[in-house]
Amino acid sequence: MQPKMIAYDPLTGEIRGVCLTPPQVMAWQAQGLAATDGPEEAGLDTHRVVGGQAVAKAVVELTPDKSEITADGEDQAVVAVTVLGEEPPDSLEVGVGSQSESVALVGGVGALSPISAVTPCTVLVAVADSITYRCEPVSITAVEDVQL
Amino acid sequence: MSSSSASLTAQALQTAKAQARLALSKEKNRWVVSDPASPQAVCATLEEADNWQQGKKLLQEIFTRLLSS
Repeated sequence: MQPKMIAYDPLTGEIRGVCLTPPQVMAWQAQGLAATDGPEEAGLDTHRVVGGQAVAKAVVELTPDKSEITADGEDQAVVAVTVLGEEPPDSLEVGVGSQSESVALVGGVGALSPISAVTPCTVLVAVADSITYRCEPVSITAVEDVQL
Repeated sequence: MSSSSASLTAQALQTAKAQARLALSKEKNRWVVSDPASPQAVCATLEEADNWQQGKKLLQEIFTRLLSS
């Protein structure tokens, strides 16, 4: 595979850009970014840089038991959290709307506190640390409680 | 910036704004979410008013919140 140049934030390891030709490196360095070689598959969403090496982000799966709830303050959805790979952490910060919760993990598996709603709305659930983890956010939609 | 990436950026901003507007609280180890701009929340707020002056003040707060969201 053809390696490519990766620009990353030296403080966080976040990949900020990739390119196949070296001239871009000077421009990156002028912006305070560091540059390194990386595998062809390295990308902003899939990799990060640790110790100067591009490594794949740990994959996190968010699995809600249901994506639609009734906005009655009673109905609720539970989002299961699974960190794939070896040596998963003991906990993971998961964002719920504009707030977050530290989810305890056992063997990489845990669950967010149940989500309920009192008005129709859609709340997004996503991993707070998107630099270290790769995760597809999920949304829980609360629909009007219609009683005929 | 291409029109598709501009559209994605606008969509992401819209989503972030909608999420920031939501009110979240933790009750009995459960997240309770509400949208203060929803008709249900507006009605519930107005029902709290005991008199016209209080209702007028609540209406002003609701419109201020709606206009800033």
